[in-house]
Amino acid sequence: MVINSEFNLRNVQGWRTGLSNLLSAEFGRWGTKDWYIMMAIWLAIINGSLLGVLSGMDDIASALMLLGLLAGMFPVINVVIVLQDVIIGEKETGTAAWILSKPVSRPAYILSKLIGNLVGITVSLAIVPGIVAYATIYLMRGVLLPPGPFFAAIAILALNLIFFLTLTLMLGTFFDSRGGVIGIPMLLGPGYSLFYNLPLISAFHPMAMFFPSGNADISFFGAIALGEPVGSLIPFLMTVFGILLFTIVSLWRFHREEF
Amino acid sequence: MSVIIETNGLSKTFNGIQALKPLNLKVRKNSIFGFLGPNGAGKTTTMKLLLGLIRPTNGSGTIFGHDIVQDNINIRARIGYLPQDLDIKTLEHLTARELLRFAARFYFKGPKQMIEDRVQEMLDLVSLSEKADRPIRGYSGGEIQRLGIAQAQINYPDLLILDEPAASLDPIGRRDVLEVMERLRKYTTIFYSTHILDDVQKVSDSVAILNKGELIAQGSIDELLAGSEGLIYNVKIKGDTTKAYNYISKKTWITEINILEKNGYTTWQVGVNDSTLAEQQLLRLLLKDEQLRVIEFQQKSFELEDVFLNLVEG
Repeated sequence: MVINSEFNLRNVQGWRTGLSNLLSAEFGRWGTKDWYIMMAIWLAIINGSLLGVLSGMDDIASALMLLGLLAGMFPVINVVIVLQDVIIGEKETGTAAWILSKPVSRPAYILSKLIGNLVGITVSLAIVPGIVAYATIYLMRGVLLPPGPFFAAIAILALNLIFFLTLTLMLGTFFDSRGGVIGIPMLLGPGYSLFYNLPLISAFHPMAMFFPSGNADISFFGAIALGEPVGSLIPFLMTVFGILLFTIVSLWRFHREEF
Repeated sequence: MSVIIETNGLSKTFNGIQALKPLNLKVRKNSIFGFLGPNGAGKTTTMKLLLGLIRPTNGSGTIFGHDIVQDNINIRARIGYLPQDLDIKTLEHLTARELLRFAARFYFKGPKQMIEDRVQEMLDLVSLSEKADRPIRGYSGGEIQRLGIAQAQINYPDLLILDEPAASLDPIGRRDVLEVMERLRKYTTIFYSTHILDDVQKVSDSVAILNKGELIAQGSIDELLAGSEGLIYNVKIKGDTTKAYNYISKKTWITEINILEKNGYTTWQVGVNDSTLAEQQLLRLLLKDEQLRVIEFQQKSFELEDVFLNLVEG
């Protein structure tokens, strides 16, 4: 029987208390068989569609526009499905209460969910499809796009997914049922295609980064990928602002949560 | 003896409904403290307040001298908690060993081998070593509950808070859980809630009874049993009881005599308010009537259930 003082004890002060252990657990969820299946499905959808476009007569700009639309809009569904259960599921089953009965700060709990899922989703739904798309364009057209702009555009894709990740996470801290947590991001994400031509909305909406705005021939995403001048920065700035706002509100709301 | 948990007027209101009325509670070090009450009495609410999972509406509390609101994280570093109906569905893909390792790492950074040894020790404590490497999803209710106790004990806590540890278990599961609690009593203070009175009488040394959010009794088991209804003697007699009744009922230390007649025998339940006089005189008074035959004479022993029902039902 080894007494506690012989262990290397964790520091139990401040907002980081419990964070490293929770992060290890969150990262453990990625890299599983289910994760590989999910990634393979999205690779097939996104990169398969890209392959189809590149096999035809379309130019690379059109192919990049399509990549932005496919990878910017539809993986949001995956993000919402994964994230809707992260907080609500653990609140419902009592897992959150159990974890918070350990020396764990509430900010550490939220940040572990945010960082763990952010890394997993960014890798599986933006970085890996982006690398495969880059290779596909080279193999199909023999064009080696400048990697800097191309991967800056992939970072825009990731940022968009993180916007919906933080939004869903935040809604999970407010709601006790899944309806609102799923419905609101779905309406704002894939639902954007229903009202993308409304100027008041498209001027600010993060999804507008993947649609050509006004008279432009190419989207914000496409322009970044090709290293061309971009139009309005407002949707991009709104995305960054949204991520920060949703994260702060999640932390604030979860601090007040009672279990 | 030092006090581990102390609350002063601790209360909680949910949406205008007072789930816990101002509670003043003291739990002494190294006691097994049974927190008793019917469903909805406020037991879980109290535990969640102590753990910082909900915030008090009024009042305050300390554990190990730390404030339960301001300094809760330091409290949680020294306690172990078993929630009611431990449901860790989102972690059920883990094995018992992995879950205990996860729980241990909230307290210990390493060394790795010492953490593994502690995990194994806990598995042995709750007799789960043979199933330790199987996913939790296949465990029975009793095994989950034992695993719950193991995770709560992983840091050798100074205080174990167990919410209904034996509820929803079959008799064997209940016995196993109570045995584990018995084994732990020399190492830690145990504060546990239950509505199974038999369990409380078996393992607890102190008890608090909560009803409708209000503390209605607190003390050692012996104190509660002694102070319940005064002493009662059961007397079974054969013969004419009129004379004996007349001189016994005049004694000031006799509070009541309930009479039941059956099959030619008379049974009296004699309530007394002075145990010494009763011990000295009651039987002698009965035997004064030489025609009377005393078949049985014994002091009634109260069960906690009698006390509990008496207090809860008023």
